[in-house]
Amino acid sequence: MPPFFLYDINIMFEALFAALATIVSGPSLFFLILGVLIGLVVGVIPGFGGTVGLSLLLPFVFGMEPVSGIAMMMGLLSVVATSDTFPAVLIGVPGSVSAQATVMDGFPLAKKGQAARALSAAFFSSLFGGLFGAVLLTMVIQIAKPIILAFGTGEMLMLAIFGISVVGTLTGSSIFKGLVAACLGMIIGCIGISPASSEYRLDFSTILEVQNPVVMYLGGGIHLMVVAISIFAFPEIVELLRSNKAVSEKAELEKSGWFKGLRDFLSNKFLVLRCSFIGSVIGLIPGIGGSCIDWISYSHAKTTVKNNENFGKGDIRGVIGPESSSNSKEGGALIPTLLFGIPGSGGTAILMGGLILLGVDPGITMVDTQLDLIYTIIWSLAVANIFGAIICVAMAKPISQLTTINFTILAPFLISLILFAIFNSTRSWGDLIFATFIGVLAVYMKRFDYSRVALMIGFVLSDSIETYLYQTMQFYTFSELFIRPIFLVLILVSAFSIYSGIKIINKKDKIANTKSDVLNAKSRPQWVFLILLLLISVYTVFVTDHLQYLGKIFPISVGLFMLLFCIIIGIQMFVSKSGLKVFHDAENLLLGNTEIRSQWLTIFWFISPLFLSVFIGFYMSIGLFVFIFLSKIARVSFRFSLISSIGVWIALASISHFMIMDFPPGILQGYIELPWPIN
Amino acid sequence: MLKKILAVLAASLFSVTAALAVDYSGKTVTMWIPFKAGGGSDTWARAIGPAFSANLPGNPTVVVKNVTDGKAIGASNKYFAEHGKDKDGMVVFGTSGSVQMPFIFKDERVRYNYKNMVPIFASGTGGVVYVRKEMGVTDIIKDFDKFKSSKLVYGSQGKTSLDAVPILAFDMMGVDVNVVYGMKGRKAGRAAILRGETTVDYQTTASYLKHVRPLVEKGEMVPIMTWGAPVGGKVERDPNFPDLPAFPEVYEAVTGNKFKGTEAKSWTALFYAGFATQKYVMLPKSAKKDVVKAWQNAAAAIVNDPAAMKVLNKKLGKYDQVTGSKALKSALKKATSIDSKSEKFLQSWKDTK
Repeated sequence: MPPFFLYDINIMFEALFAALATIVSGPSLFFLILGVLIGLVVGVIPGFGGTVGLSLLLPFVFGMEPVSGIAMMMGLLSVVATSDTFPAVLIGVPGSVSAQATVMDGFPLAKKGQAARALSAAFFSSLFGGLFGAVLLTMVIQIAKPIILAFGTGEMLMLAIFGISVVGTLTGSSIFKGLVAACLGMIIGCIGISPASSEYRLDFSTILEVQNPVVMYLGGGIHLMVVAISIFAFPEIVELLRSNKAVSEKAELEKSGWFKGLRDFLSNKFLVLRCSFIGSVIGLIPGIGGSCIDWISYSHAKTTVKNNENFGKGDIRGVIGPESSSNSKEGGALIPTLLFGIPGSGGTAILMGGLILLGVDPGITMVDTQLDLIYTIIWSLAVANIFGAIICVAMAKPISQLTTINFTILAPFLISLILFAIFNSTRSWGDLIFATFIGVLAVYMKRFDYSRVALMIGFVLSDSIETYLYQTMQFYTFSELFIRPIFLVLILVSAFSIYSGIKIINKKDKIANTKSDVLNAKSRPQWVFLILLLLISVYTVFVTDHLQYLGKIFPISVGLFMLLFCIIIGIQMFVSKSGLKVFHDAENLLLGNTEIRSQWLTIFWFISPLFLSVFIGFYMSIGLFVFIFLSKIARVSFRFSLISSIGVWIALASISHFMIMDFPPGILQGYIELPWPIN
Repeated sequence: MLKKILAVLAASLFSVTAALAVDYSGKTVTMWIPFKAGGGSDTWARAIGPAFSANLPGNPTVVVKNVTDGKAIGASNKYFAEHGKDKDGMVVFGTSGSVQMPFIFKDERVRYNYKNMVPIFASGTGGVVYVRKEMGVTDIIKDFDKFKSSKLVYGSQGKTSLDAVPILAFDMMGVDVNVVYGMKGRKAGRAAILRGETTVDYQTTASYLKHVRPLVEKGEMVPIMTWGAPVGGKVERDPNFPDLPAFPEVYEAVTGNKFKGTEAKSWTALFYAGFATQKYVMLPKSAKKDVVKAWQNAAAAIVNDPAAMKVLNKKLGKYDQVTGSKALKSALKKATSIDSKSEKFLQSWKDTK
């Protein structure tokens, strides 16, 4: 194969446009749009990402004509990262993994009554990111091989460390609280089989039987979506329920809709460009995975723009940044998939399975022999992005009306949806139980300003850091590592990221000391929470001590660091008078408000359907919950409650049918054989 | 005479009811796959699913259900808990080497037992070991000293996974390979050797043909041996790669020992579980005889269906698809049982280093 610049450009363009013609003519366009529509729906439902969506399509793909099959799969994969913004902005729940960071500023914007603006700015950024990815894919697919191979385990380790280093820029007012949260995330990430020694860790097997369901569940590790949903959505919903208002604090939404979003997008074009670039480059490298790209670009946006004080409180640039990168990464992730048959993301992994079913085997020979199919994939990516963005922009305004409805009426639907999304992670009772634990923890983390983002980043990168640290030490000596240029550049980038993090925290320091939320803080609950965290770190150190060296070194180090940080916070709390930032307690902001509901009552509402399902099974319990909640707590009419609960039942039954999915049974089902779908 | 006629009548009556009993028309049969969608076992299941649908009595819809609760072991345990006593064959179980290996290594989490299963269909594969060109090894037997003295690094998923086969093989040949753990699957192992971080690797046949052979043609990688294929009771050269020696052959040539004894027996057991007959469709033993029969007949019909076989061959390489009660039973026994001496050896081998 000749190098790119010698390659006959004419032939390339001819193939490129021939591929476009195949895509937009005949049945493939129909399948492309079908894929786009399914992708939009899959993206909107929290817990369903491209991975789940594509695996739904696989049975239908088998036996299809290759171009149509590719069009359908690409249509789906390309738009999931676009439509997953809806729940992220409207209700603060990421629709899929790639919308985690969008929640940070998108949801506060919705609270300000600017949901439509946030959504359309996100969609335009996402569209641009998607197209950027497609263009990049076209340009570099033939020359990408050395680039990808230049990223060894040392470079991947540094990328993961760079990912962790952005914690500083995203954390709250206390750096140590942020670090404790990051350590906790890494400890949660350690649960399951250790990468280096293949031992089971932190699964309670030291105190329980190995065949106990809890141990079996934890042996598989805790799923990303379980953590992502419970850590972000749970506290937000509890808070909204307590105040008994609509999401939007303004009754009237702002008039200007998508046009304002477009303007935001245009005036931040360089940010969009930079973040799209970050997204596709990190997507290009298999092994780091897509889950931390959003955080990296969010942090990039925060550190590189002027006047970043409003980040986290509703700055449109906090939406634009991560949305540009979350969609551009698919183009990047396709490159190693097509070139080596080594997928760069969860979605592309399943895409590859689908391509094999179609008789198209991605791999090194594909670039030489089936370039036309590669262009088909690229065009599908581009065309699908355009369709997806148009549909989403058109829906942004009407759907954002949802934010004006009183939240108590929306709550039972959302709670059902979230419990369902969590359960879908590995389809096990354990998903629901551990999500509840993490959710309650998150409520207190939010209250005392322990950064939840830091926990998420720690969790996402835990495995990469441990694996690559261990492998790098085996593959390289120090002197070999420090002559690798990309490795050195990444060290500089991480150092710069840590430096800007410290700068941001210092700036916050000056503001934070005068804030009212630290006045009158009660210190008792803070101490209880801190001691709980401290016990977790001690527990981690103790129960991993019996493992092999390679299995225990990482969790023990993280545990000891966490212990150290906890002690530092303890000392700070001990020596400082109440009123300092270490005593941050969001509860105080709510003290004046008498209409507020109690925290534990709302948490109880959240988990009551789970208690109910222990007895009568998940399926029946959800419908009953919707009915009881609507008629007793939201106090809407009997008819509305009844119709709603039947609607939820029908929706769940059809999902169960199409997705070949059983809901967790209760005690009742253990005694009596019941027909589908109640069984 | 009357007795005879009665017997024939009774028998024919019986067979009629039996034929009536197994009819899946209008029904949905589930293939329980303890792996996530899009992976090797899932693709395999989705390839044979429609073939079973076409060949089972009544042409039921065959759907694949990916169960990932508790990973492969947990999901396999769950199948046994929920369907271990089924009689009607409505939910069949699809396994792979990753389910067989923990069973052989007696992982304490395993609650499934292959002794309580009836095999319906089995697919095998093979594996090819290759090195980077720079090593200068072209024939592992002739260049063995060079191979042995090279810097040998192998990227592995873990010692009790399918990688037990290569790691034990290296140990038996007496070569000192630096095994680096933590690879997420064979794809990651391949990526590492492409980057030059590892120097020796193996891929299953299908993956080798697709991803490594082009590199061999370009002169970047060199294949040195295969794990072999079962011929009769022995492990012989892999018919897909007649020019490459199989591991037992290499072992005998480089060590001067016969391929016998506990080590060789243990390796062979692992080879059968992980490669020779790697993927099984199975029913619980409680299934009715005619149900088992109907499934086994369907499996035999699939092997005669060129379209279905084309997909399978592409996925797994051209290997025997085992059907027929007798052949399956002996294959499953080889893939899942191990004599006590070898078991003891493997248990202590697992814990070294």
